[in-house]
Amino acid sequence: MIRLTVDDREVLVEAGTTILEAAATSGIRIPTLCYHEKLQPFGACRICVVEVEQMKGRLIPSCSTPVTEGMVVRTRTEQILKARRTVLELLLIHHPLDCPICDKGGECQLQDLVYEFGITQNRFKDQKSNHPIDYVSPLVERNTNRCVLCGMCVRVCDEVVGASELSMVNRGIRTKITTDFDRPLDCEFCGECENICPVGALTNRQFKFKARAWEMQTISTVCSFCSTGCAIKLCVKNGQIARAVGEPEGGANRGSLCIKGRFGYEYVMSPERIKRPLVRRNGKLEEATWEEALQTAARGFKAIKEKDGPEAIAGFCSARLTNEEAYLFQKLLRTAMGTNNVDNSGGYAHRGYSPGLRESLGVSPAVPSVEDLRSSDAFLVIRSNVSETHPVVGYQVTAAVKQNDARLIVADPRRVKLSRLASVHLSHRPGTEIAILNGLARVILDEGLEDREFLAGSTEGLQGLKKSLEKYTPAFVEQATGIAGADLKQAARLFASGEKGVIIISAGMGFGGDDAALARCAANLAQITGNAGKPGAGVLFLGEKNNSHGVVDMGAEPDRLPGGQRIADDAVRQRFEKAWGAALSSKPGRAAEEILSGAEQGSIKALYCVGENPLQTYPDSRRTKKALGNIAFLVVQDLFLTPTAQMAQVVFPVTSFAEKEGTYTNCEHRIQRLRKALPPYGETKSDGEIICAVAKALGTDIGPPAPEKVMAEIAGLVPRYREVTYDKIPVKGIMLDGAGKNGNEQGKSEALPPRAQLIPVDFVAPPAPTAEYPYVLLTGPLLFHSGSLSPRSKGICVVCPEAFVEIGHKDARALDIKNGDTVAVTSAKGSITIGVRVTAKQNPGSVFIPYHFAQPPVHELTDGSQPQVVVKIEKRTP
Amino acid sequence: MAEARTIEQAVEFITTEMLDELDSVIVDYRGTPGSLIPLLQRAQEICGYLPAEIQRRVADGLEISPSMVYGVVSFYSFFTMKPRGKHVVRVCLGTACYVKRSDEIMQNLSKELKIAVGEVTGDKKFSLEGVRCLGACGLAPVAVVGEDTYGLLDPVTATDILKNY
Repeated sequence: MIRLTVDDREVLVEAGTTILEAAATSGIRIPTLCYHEKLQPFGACRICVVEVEQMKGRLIPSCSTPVTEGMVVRTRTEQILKARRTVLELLLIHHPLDCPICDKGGECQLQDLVYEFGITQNRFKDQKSNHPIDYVSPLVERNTNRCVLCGMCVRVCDEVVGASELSMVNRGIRTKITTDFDRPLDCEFCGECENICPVGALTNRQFKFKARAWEMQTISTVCSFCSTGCAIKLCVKNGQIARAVGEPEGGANRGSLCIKGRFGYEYVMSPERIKRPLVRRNGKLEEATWEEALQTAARGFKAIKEKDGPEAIAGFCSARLTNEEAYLFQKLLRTAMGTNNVDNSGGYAHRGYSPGLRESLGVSPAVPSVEDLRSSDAFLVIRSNVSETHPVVGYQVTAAVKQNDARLIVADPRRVKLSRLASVHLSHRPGTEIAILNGLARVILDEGLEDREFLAGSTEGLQGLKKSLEKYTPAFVEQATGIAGADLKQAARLFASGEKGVIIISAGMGFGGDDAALARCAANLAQITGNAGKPGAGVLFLGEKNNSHGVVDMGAEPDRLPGGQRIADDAVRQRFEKAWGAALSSKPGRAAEEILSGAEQGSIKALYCVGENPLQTYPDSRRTKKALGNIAFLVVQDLFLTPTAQMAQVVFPVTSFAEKEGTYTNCEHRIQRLRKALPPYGETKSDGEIICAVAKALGTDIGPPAPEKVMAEIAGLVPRYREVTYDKIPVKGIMLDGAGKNGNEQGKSEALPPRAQLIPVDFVAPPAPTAEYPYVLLTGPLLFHSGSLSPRSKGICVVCPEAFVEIGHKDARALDIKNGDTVAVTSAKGSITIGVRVTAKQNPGSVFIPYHFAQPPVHELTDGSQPQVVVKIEKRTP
Repeated sequence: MAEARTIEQAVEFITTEMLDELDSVIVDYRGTPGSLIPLLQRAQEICGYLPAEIQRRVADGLEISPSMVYGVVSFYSFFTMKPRGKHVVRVCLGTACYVKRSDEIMQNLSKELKIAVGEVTGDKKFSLEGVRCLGACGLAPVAVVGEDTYGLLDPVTATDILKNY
């Protein structure tokens, strides 16, 4: 520890702390223009200068000077104030002072400093700068004339986002911040640059001329897209969202956002949303009153229950429901309808988390928190294009690598953003991840790099695992995956050498099938290397949607009640029967796959689809269409009239995330609160209100939909949520397994079995390309979109409006295909016509199609029973 | 539009042999930290200058962003984004040379070559540049053609130095 004096106050801080940070710890504010806690010190603006007794004769930049023992610092002498005033005067020579029409007005740091220092005159005069303004780039407007060259945009883009789109160019007086040759932006459009800009040089185009900073009401809530669970602030003026900004208090994101979080909220205000309930009359969906719609739904479910029994009814719920709503939904199905046929998001995307990780590490496996990732020193990113699926988690990995030299191993068949930063990029054949993980485990065990103490003390099954790994020699792995033995060994050694290693897997990469097996395999590797149950280490399984983890916790699964408790367990079931006052079926229900096959065969007659759109998002859409067509009574609850909703008998319109309350549980098991920012759109009601109303219409009382009441009930039944009190959840949320404590501490996971399990997993080769179908089709998400919701947001669609197929240069040449050509992609299941992007990202032999878009329907090609499909590609003559 | 012209010119000035050589050099530097500036120096030696096309090739090769490359190229006066002739004529415009009428030398060379400062002759033989100080003030006024230095020039006959090339 180092002791120093700041403005006559004694301060005790750790070595390496800067003067600026030391002053802040004792509440002394030093003004800055180029400092940000997320970035490395830069020392450009000279506003933060201070006097140091031991360094007399010059002013010292406090942001970039570390403290030393006995330092005597003064932060507000006359000389300092004079220097700061001069710096401001110098900045104002070229700054245009167009504050009345600048969107940063009211929250501009330069404006605030000029006000604070009372600058009314400028001793220096010159012409104002006259750079052209970039009105061409989407979402971000660049007006270099207002720039103060603090470099924060350049640094956040490089150090945190990892895109390096902006750069300081030229030299001296001609320095400006721009792209190469002043081209318009062609980047991730996360808006971090715009958000960090202390002045109006970079502004949010969506927000342009919408509101002054002080006119808006800001509501802290949670982003509605991926499971990172970034806290956002919705800024509302006149009942409209004017913009979204990152919540600096946010537990997972600390103010950072990606394009989806910052610009994706617009779907909330889409005119395509359904306003009133719809009921099918004479074959047509027509508007109806809530009373009529609810009665029709209740009558339909009742009739089927009476005629075909409760087992003929099933429910799908979206992983975008709040915890409370998912809880109410499964309660409705299990009590009022009497069936366990309830599943979420197709049941294919989340098997990695449950049952995958649970069987290895327990019902609530401890995971590294997103914030702790910065302190991790080794990453293995496998089947996870994390920079696109969960960009803010990707920022943390980027920052750990760029700022702290963490080791990064990326296993991805494509050249993705993180593979550029990686120490080792394992560019493997698609679908062979399990062979890689087994191969890595074997190398580590062979070379004696394992954590023997951890294995002996906390795990079970090492002998069995060792035996199962016998065949995974580097030679076998090379033959199976295409990864050279030397690369595999290097990756294994790198990962094993980390003190705090993290394995990152994303769900929803579109290739289903062996997610659970992959998660088990990752858990094995984490245990072998001793990376389990300590902060900043472990397996981070990233669910696709905002509440992917929560809906699993809430029992939206066929075989488990809330809290992952098995329905077949009599004691568990009796506890729930007592609490709910209803008899529960002990027979595990059908998973999503089985519900659809049941519908196909005629054993499922009624389906309640809450927020799900299987027709567009489930594999093999022809089969899905046939299955849904067989269902006699389909009820859909959604924001939009989706293809699935168009087939329904009754459609309930719901409120969006911005119009309701509730909680979400994110990928690090942080529970956070949604707060209502807008009144409900049209006559919409929240999913929870509708579910309760349907229960009431069926003559069952499942309790009131108020989230605080539902959460109280959940807390009584689910051990992990025991300490959650709805009203007391702070903006940064609560880490579930360390409930009640500092939200960023990693708590002990209470349900961790006494010993973690090492479960052998065997690799099954995926379908190989054939002469007829020579390419492997990868489907997956894009950076710019999330699920099928974001294509409804205008701003995002300016950047990325439509689907395409990515083909590597070599394959494109062989097929005589150019960028922008149209091709037919055909699998054994179906065929679609789609535009081409030729890219260096794609390796020969595989092609990629994003799955967000309704047209063309990529799921006409996929097959629910296979992890991936093979396709052929034919050029269409225009 | 100015930018579009630069890229077209690049195609004209840069041969496939140059690109092949550049690609082989890039491979040597890939993965080595701090290799951008030495690689750009080599690239300029090979191609004569660093237009957008070459900068993008360097960026792709090192897997860094083209903006970062452009930032470095635009910062150092050593790097040029304009094509150069086979022989670069540099006239010193430093104080000592200037008072000895080096501005007139520049004007006369410009007239003789029929190009403005910073341009290249149609046959790509000469390009003309001004420099600050060459450190040979005792020889003022000074001009340099390629690696050859000419001192104590007479403004009227200075154009004769071009005859050596």
